[in-house]
Amino acid sequence: MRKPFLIIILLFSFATLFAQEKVMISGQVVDGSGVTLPGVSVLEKGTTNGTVTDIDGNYSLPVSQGGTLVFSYIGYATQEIEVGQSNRINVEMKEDVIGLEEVVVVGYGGLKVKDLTSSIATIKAGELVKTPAGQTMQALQGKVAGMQIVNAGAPGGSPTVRIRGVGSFPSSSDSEPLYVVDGMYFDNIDFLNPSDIETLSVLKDASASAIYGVRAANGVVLITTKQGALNTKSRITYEGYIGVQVPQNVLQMANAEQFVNYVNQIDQQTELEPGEEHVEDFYSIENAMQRYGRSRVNPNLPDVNTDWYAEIMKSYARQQNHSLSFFGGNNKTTYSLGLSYFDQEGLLETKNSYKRLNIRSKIDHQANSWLKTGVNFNVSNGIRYIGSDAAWFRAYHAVPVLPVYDNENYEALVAANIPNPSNYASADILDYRNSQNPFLDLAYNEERQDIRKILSGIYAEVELIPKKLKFKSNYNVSMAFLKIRKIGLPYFITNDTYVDVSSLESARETYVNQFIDNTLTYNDSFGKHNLTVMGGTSYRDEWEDKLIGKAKDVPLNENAWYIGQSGAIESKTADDSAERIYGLSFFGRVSYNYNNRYIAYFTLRHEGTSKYQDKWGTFPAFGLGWIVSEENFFQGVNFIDYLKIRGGWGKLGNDKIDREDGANTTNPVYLAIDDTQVNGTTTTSTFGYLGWETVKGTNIGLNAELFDGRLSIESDYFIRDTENAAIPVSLKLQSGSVRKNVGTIRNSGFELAIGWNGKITKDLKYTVGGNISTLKNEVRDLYGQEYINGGSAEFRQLSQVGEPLLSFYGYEVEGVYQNQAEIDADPIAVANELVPGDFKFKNQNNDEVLDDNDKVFLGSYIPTFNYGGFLGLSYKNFDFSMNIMGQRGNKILNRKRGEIIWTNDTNIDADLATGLWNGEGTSNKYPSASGLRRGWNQNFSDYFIEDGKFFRIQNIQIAYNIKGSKLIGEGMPDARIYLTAEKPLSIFKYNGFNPEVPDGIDRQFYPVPSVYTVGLNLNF
Amino acid sequence: MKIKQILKYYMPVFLVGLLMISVIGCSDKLDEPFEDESFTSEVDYSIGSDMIKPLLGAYYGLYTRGWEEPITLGIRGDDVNAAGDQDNMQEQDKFRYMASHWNPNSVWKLHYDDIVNAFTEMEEIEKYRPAANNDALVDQYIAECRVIRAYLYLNLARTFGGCIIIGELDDIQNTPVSNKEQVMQYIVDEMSEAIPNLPDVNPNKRTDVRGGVTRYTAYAIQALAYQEMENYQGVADATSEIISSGEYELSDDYYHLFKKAGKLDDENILEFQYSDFNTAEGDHFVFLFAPFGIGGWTPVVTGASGGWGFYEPTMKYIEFMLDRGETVRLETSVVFTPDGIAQLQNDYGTLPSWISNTNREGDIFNNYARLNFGSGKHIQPSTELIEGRTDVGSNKNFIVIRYAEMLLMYAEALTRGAASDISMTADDAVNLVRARAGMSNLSGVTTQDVLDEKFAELAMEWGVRFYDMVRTENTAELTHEGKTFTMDKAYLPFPADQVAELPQLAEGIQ
Repeated sequence: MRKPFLIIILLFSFATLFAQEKVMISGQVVDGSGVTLPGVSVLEKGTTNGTVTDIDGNYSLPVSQGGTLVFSYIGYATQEIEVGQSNRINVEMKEDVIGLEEVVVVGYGGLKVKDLTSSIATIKAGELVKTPAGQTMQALQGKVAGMQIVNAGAPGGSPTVRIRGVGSFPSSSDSEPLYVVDGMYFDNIDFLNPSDIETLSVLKDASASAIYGVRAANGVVLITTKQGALNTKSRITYEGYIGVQVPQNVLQMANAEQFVNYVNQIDQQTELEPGEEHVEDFYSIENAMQRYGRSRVNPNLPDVNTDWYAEIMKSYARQQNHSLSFFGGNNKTTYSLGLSYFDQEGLLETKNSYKRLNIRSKIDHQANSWLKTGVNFNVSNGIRYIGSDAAWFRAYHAVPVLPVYDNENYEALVAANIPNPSNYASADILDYRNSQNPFLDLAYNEERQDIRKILSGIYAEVELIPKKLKFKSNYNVSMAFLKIRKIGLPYFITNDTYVDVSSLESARETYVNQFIDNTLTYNDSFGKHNLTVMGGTSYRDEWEDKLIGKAKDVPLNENAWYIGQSGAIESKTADDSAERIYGLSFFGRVSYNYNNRYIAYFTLRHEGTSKYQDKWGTFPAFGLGWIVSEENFFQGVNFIDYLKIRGGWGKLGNDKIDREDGANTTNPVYLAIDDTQVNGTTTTSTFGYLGWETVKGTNIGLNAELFDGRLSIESDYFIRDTENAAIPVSLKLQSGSVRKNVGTIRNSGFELAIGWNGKITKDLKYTVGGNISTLKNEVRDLYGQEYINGGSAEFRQLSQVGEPLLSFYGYEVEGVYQNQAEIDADPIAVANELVPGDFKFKNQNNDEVLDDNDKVFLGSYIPTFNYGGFLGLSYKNFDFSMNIMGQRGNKILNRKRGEIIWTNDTNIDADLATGLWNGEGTSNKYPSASGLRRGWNQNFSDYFIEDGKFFRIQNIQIAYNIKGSKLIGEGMPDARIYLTAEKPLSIFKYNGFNPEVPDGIDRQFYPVPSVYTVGLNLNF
Repeated sequence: MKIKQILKYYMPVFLVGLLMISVIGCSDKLDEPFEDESFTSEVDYSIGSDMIKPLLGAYYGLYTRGWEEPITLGIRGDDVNAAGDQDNMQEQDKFRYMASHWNPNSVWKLHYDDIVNAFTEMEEIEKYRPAANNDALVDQYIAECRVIRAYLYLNLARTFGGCIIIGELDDIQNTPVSNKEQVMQYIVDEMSEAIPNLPDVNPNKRTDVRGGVTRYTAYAIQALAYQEMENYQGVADATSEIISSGEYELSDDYYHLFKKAGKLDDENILEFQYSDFNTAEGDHFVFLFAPFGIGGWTPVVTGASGGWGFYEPTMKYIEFMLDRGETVRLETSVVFTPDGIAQLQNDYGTLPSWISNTNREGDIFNNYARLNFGSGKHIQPSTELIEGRTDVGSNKNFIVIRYAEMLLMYAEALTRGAASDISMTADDAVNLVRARAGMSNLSGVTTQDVLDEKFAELAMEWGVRFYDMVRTENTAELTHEGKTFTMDKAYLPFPADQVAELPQLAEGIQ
């Protein structure tokens, strides 16, 4: 087999050995507005012969007769011009709006945009850095049709990313896409600085992502970090901004007056037991007045009116990013080096921040005529302080009649020589059940994470047949080292509110992932037939190892926060865990193009993993495209420049699902026999057995460019079926569940993106566009189970065939019983001893009782409609851009209001406090104050469910560009100065900070702030 | 061809081939076992002394109970009110049941978890038989698992009026629902088979698993099953085995029976064991007693946690006890708050002077919004905490079946005409219990006397009172304090989640 193959290699290689005559070509390169472009790379195609344009955009280069010149410059479309009769070639570079000739990375290689048959969205570096965010994906919010990004407000928190809905059962697997950074797989890219990214492509449909096999079920985000180009001048760029984050849409809580009013309503409405004069809460208000005095404005109020959200939040918090890059290349070597620093302070009044320093380098070298090698290295060193989220929860519930500090109590503690006295107030001083004060979470807890990540890769690319057959071997390794330290400090406020000793939790986590990829790519043209064939193998070894230790009673100074310093030997515990998964794949791709009109694409991946009991899966995909505009019959249609109709189908696996044991395990347990610790074992009686959860995606779409490229349209319709979805199947009779491949989930939707760019005058240009996407999420099959329970018993969510995953399920509120007559007329109200001010739930089946049969689906957390839009203007050296986005159709469980089920002596939000039923005709939406506390009204109903729709101005940026050399003189850098407002305005009705709630349950979320920055880019 | 050319053209191909092959060679990695797991297939059954491990695993299952279990089983009686903020439990206390209530579902699932655990542990014990070289011991261990399993079935059938008796673990889908009668018969039969293999000693005399199951635990469970079947001769026979064994004796200190001193007392027939292992920190094995506790107390030991206040003795019970002139049993069973005392004075009149909101140990029970009375059998005085521990009831055992209950069951059976081989009369049995409580002797006790005695003696304990009233169809007693009981409310409905999984449950109990 090998001999004829070699002969072919030799035959082809001789063909290139003819010598050719050279001619000197020169010319000038300008941009769209006629300004000369220095530093443009000019390269003779297929050679290393090249140069760059000088300060006036001029070049000259000896070129072989009949050769082709390639002009390339970052931010502009690459142009190829054949050398003809003229010795002078002048070029006007066009700004890059994803040209059809541009190559996008599609996994183990690239494809030209015109050859794509699937839905791929590409975001350019310039667009990414418009968003001042530490996390790259935050910049994509509202910009890609079919992609939902849910921001995380906490410094260093990763946003939730969903491409085309939720395909896996949420407790089995998240719906995060696969991130491929320079060929390496990641589940999360928090270590990347957005300004280190050159391009980011989102593979949305299965036919595109199938080449990535098992990881790609939720779509793929391909990221290429910045790289240099051959024969380019060395460049230094600086990008940076400083700014502030400002809390927005702060939820209004009941103030002291509203709260006292609410308590008085409870007091009046509650039927007291004999011997009682008032409800407990009434006395707590009296206690507050006694202890902290009466308000001079209204003597029936205590002289305290704490706005807890205002207390725990800073009015603004800092954020900055600085990034320095060096790149360039000679005729054999390209390089790119970078250093970037991101620093974000949190909004909470405690240590919460994120700092990250990144160093990266990338070098590619053409060693000889057949060997090219390269290496890249990224180091990220971050420190993250995480403020206790519990503070947000407590701030909602803490009563406004409690001050932050209680110095009277503090002085008494000091006088009594109590160790660790605290000057914070605690609500139990006023006879509330709990301490309530959120500062106890903030002041006496600290969590620090030291996050160190390394990504490195090396490759060799061997040209077996020049220009035609290439072999590439990649070795990539990523390592992550985490140190997580949580400390709880002792304090004493009252006998019920204290922590007597410090507690320390210290964890070390190590992740080492190694990938070896080999690919063989063959590229050829025969007449009008263009063919690329690629085949390869991939080997993966993913290992994680965790160690956690805990101790109590460590000294209080930070340098002693080590387990060894613990004064309580008995309290020391250690535990560890590990996981190591191997994978092996064989894959191939054929892409074929006939006369640039008909495109066919086929991939196949055979995947093995140690993770599942079914080791091997095979995942095919194909795509077809027809460039209608190339057809002869279409040549008369003048206003359409380009029209492609495309479709694809693909199948892939999801290996993000945690493994199941696949066999019984026997586990150690300990118990007490006669006050002695003895060890036993328990053995599992059942075990999960998992095969592949597969996704089958069908996508049809079109791309069109009209009116001289001024209007671009991309539209897709998709159906994405997750089959054999790994779903927790409840054990029969027992508690717990095991995951089995027993469900089908469908996501389907329509996506449309439209862009228009135009010129009003020579200097005033504009672009405007938008995208919309619909999404329908539906459970199609549960293999015999009627439904699967989710949520908690109090706030039930069901996954049932025909409904979206985890839909809220409960009663529908019809109104509020307004008077006794309405109660008497309703047998349900009578049977349940209801009173006016209680909810009237809809009796769905019109029988005499309200029971489980009257519960209905109340909506889902998955939005059904997302939209985004942009407007860009440029006038001379100024440019302006604005992005908007929004979503509709999702519901949010206002879990903060639901907490009253467990603890009712707390504050409520202002909307509720002022909207409560208090006598006939006062409200048909909210129950009475005392009704909030009755079990009847605490039944899960759509009272707790709110609409999550919102509209937001996502980003506004105004910039001024300076062409340094023109303005100031030679040697001066180009500069861009800009002002950005990120998320300056959000409009929604939801009673919370933010309708962005990843799983639809709003209990305690870090709010997402507005960010205002001033930035500077320099280009030397 | 020149060497150079050979190198140029062969070298790449050679390298490529080598790399491709090396990757394919990695495929055996896919069969690597998972990290951090102990598969049952790796257990070494040749170490006979390890046979006790699966047995202890069965006890582990039995002792690890959810906090909601004793509450759910106990609240429906006229001795207990559901208190606190658990709406489901409040509703059940009022005899309003819903299949979607979480706590019966949880009780159901945890019981079956431990039933299935008993199955697998019996299988594991059996695997040690060759190495153990002691058939009697293997049989004893397996018999202990069967007793544990029977106890769990007993609870299920009394609570839900029936349940699924698992025959084969993998055939649950096709196993029909057994009604209460059938479950009780199954328990009786199971116990008859287990009894000969079990040690005939008080649990506290066992040396391998002190406080574990013995022959008399099996007799007690059998007696309880017979009682549910209203087979009073069966009750008399089983209880007289316990009485005549001489292994059991009533504790002479009723109050301290429910405290640390009562751990593994001679009176205890089945007892869930918990311990702080006498250490201030680190591992401990405890039950979550917090729902019984009373928030806002002033404990002698600063820092002792209060609790959630979900379980409240009824005024009816307290007044019943006051009427009888009870002292130690009332003091042990009920913790009073000032509000509770005021309410009693209001409703009942003058109270004996010993009633106060301070317990013997000095803990002060302040007013608490959720309840006026606490369940003293479950509230551990703060002074009993091991120093350094602060959780409610930490280190406290949970007594399940007591000799006193057996004596009273024996007495009731006799009053209902059952014959007995032993000399003890119904009067003797009742008076033994009364004497310990400082009550005068009765003679010619009637069934009603015994039931009253059980009310006084066993209140707040595991729903004993409720089962007695259901068994005697005494709807009048259970209709109390504004709650109306009818016999159709005797059993909780099968939990909705279970019905969704197993269609045979939807058909109900036949």
